[in-house]
Amino acid sequence: MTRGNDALAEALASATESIRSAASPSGSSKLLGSALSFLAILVGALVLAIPVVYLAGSNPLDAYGALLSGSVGDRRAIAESLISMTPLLFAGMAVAIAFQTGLFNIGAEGQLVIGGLAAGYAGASLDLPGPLHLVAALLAGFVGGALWALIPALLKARRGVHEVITTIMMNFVAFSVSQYLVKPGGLLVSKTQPQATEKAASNALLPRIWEPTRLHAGVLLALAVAVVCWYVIYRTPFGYRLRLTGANAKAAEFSGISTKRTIVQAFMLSGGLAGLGGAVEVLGVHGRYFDSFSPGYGFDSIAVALLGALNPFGVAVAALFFGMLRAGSIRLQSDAGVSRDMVTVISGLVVACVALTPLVRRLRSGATHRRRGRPTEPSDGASIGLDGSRPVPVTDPAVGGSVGSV
Amino acid sequence: MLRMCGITKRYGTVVANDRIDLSFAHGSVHGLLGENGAGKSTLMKVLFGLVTPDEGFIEKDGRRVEIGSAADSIRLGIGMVQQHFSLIDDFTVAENLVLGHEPRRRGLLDLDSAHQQIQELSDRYRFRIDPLQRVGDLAVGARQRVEILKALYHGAEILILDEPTAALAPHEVDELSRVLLELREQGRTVIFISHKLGEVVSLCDRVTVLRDGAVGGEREIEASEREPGTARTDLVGELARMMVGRDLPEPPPHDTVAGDVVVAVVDAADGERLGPVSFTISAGEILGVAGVEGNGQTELIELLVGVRRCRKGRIELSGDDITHWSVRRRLESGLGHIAEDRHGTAIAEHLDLAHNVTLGFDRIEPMARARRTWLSLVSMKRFASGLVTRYRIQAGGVTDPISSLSGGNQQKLVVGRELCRSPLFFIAAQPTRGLDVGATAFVHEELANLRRKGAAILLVSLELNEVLALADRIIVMSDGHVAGEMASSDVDTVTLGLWMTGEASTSTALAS
Repeated sequence: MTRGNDALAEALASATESIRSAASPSGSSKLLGSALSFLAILVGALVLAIPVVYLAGSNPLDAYGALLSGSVGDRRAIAESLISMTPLLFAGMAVAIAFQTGLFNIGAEGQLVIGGLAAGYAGASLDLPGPLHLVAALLAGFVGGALWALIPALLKARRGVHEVITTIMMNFVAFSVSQYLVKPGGLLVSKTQPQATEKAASNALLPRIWEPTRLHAGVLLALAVAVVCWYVIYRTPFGYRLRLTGANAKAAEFSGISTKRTIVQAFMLSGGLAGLGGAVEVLGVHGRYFDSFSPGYGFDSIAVALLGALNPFGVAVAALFFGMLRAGSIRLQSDAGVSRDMVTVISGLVVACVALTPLVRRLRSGATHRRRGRPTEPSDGASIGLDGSRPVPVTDPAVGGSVGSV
Repeated sequence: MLRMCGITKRYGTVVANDRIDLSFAHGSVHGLLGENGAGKSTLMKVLFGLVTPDEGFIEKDGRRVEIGSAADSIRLGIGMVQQHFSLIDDFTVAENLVLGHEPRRRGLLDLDSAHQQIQELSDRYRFRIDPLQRVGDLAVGARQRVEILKALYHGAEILILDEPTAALAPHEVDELSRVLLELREQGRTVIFISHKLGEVVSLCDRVTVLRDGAVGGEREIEASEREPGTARTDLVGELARMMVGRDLPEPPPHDTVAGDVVVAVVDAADGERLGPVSFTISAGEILGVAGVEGNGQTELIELLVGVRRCRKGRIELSGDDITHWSVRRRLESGLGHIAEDRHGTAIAEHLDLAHNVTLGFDRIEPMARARRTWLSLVSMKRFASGLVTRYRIQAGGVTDPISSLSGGNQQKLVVGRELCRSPLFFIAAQPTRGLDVGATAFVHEELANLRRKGAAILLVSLELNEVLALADRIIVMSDGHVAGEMASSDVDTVTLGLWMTGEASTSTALAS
C-alpha cells in the first residue's frame, strides 16, 4: 500500500499554485449555474401548470395565491410545510444516493412504509429508558428500510435483475404486508385502533419544537442527515466509490472497486434513509403507525431528487418546495376550489422539466457551435437527389438478372 | 467488371487508402487480405458509399459511377454484409428482407409474393432458408445467409463480405463456402475480406493484399494451389510475406539486461475462450503481444488485471501467487495498467480530472485521510495538477470534466496515473490507439523509461510495428492461445504472419 508513495510524493511536489486559481472560480460558477437551472425548472413547471388550472375552471392567480398562503401564510402554514418537507428530504436523499451510484430506486415508498411500521412497532413494544427508546425506534426504521432494499440490491448485484422492476414490485409487497400486519386480527394491530399499531411510548416520540404547531424535531434530524449525506457522498472514499460506480462501473471495477459490494451498500443506505423518513413521520406526526400514513412521499421523492440535482443540499431545497406544495394543497382546495391533485400535476411537470434540461443544454450548445461556424463534412454525396446537376449516371436499377428487386 | 481507380482517403494526417487500384471480375471470389488498420474497411466503405474518397473514382462496366450513399451502391448492384448483422430477431426472414421495400397490393402489404420470390432465390443458390422462419430462431451461420440473401434480394451482383467467418463455427464455414462458390458459378462477384490465410487460399480466385493503406501485392490463385501440399504452403508463405513484410523498425536498444522473472503465467485459462496460456516476463523486459483483434487479448488483460476469473492455471507476481487476488490487492502490489478501451475502463468521462486521477488511489494516503474516513479533495487536485504539469497535459483546470480534454491528453493523464503506482508489472494495452504522433512518442518513451527502471512490461497492440519497435520478445495470440514466441532480434515476418492468421501448422511445415 505504501508502494505508490514515492512516485506520488514526486508528483505532488511538482504541484503548482495554478490549481487554486483554477479550482475556486469554477466552483462558485457551478453553484450559480445549478441555482439558475433549479429556478428555471420550478418556473417552467409552475407556468406549464397555468393552463391546467385554467381548464380545471379556476383562476390561476387565485390558485397560486392559495398555495402560497397555505404554505407560508402564517405560523401554522410554515410549520406544515416543514413537516411535509421532512419525510420528502429523507426519501429524496435515498433516491439521490441510489442515482449517484447509477441505480434507480423507485422503491423509496415501500422502504418508507416498512421503516414507519418498524419504528411504530419498536416505539410501542420496546421498553427502554429515556431518549434511548427514541433512538432505538429510529434505528428500527432505518434497519427496516435497509433490509427491504436488500432484496432488490442482492438481485441486482448477484443476478443482474433490473432494480426498477424489483423495487416497484417490492413497493406492492410492502403495501400488502403492512396492511396484512395491521388488519383486524393481524400480528401487529392495536387492540383499540384498527389499521394501526399501538401508540408509541411518549419517550419514543420526536419532541415538538415550535408549539403550538405540530412541527417536530424530525426536521432538524433531516437537515443534519442531509449534511452528513453530503459529506459521505463528496468527502469520503465510500462516496467516491459510489459516484465512480455510477459514473463508469467498468472503470471502477478496473481500479479495484467491488461494484457489486458498492451497489449493495448504496442500496441499503438508500433504503435505510427512506425507512428513516417513514420512522420520523410516524414518531413525529402520528405517534403510531397508521396504515397508509404516507400520501406518496416516496414517489414524490423521485421528483425531489431530480429537482435537487442529486446533491443533498439541492435535495433539501427541492424537498422544501414539495413540502410547501403539499401543505398549500389544502388551501388550494378550500380557497381556490382547485383539486388537491393539482399538486400531483405540478410535481409531474417538474419531472418533465428536469427531463427537458439536457435537451435545452444541447440546443444551447448547438447554437453556440453554429455561431462559431463548426466545420462541416464536405457534403459530397450527402446532397444526392437534391442536386440534379451532379453527374449521377446510375445504371438501371434492375440490373442483370436481379431477382425481385425494388 | 468493377474497377476502383486511384482511391485515396485521408483522415487528418493518416492515409487510410493510398492510391489504390483494384478491379473485380464477374463470377469470381476476390479475397482482400490485410492486418488491422491496413485499409480494408475504409476501401470497402468507399465502395459501398459510406465514405467519400478524397481522390480516385469507381468504374462499373467501363462507365464512371458516383457512389455517394449506400442507396447509390445498392442501385448499382453492390451489397454489403457487415460483421454485425442488421436483422430484426422478431421478424421472419421474409419480413426482414422486404423491410424498406415492402411489396404492396392495393395499399396492403403483400408478403405472399415476397415469400415466393425469396423461396426461389434461396433454392437457386441452395441457401436452405425458410422465408417464414423467425430470424431469432436461426443459428449464426443461417442468419449470415439471410444477410446475403437480403443483399441478393435487393439486386446485388457484387457482394462485399466483411470477415464473414469471424463468428462462424467450422461446419458453418463449410456451408458458407458452398454458398459462395454457388454464387460464383452463377456469375456474381464476391469480395471476401479476411485475416485468415487458409480460407482465402481455399476460396478465392484472386487475392489482393493491403498493407499500410496501399496494395501490397496481388495474385491469382490456381486450383492446384488449393490442395494441401507444397504449392499451397508456398502460396501461404508468400501471402503472409505480402501482408506483414515491411522495413522492420529498429529493435529496441538493449541497454538493460533482463533480470529475474517478475511475472509468470502458467496454463492460465478463463474457462471460456482464453487459454491455456503460459509465458513469463522478467524485470526490465517488454513482452509484446501481437495478433489480430479478438483472439483473446482482451480476455488475457482482464485476467491479469483481475476482473476476469482465472479458472485454471496460475498467475505469479514476484513470487506471490496472485491468481485469486482482488484487483485492489494487485494494484497495491505493483500492478499498473493502461486500459485497452480508455473510455470504457480507464476513465469516467463525467467526472473531473481530480476524480479521474484518484482511480485506484482512493484508499491510499494522502488521498484518503484519517484511516480512510475522509477523502482529501486538496490532495486529489494537487495530484492531478502535478500530473498536468509534469506531463505537459493541455487542460483547463483540474476541476473540469475529463471529457474536455483531447484523447491524447486523456491518455497522458491515464499513463501518468498508472506510472505513479511505481509498477513492477505494467500492462500497456493498445497504449497509443487513436493518438497522434507526439502523444505516441510520449507513451513509447515512458514505456522505455519504465523498462529501464526494471519493470516487467506486457505490451498488447494490434499495431505490429509498435510491438516490433518496443518489445524484447514477442508472443502471438491466435484463437485464445499463444501461437508462438520469438525474440524481436530475430523476427521472421513470414512466421509472424502465419501465426497471426492461425496458420501455425503451415509455419512448422515451412520451417522443416
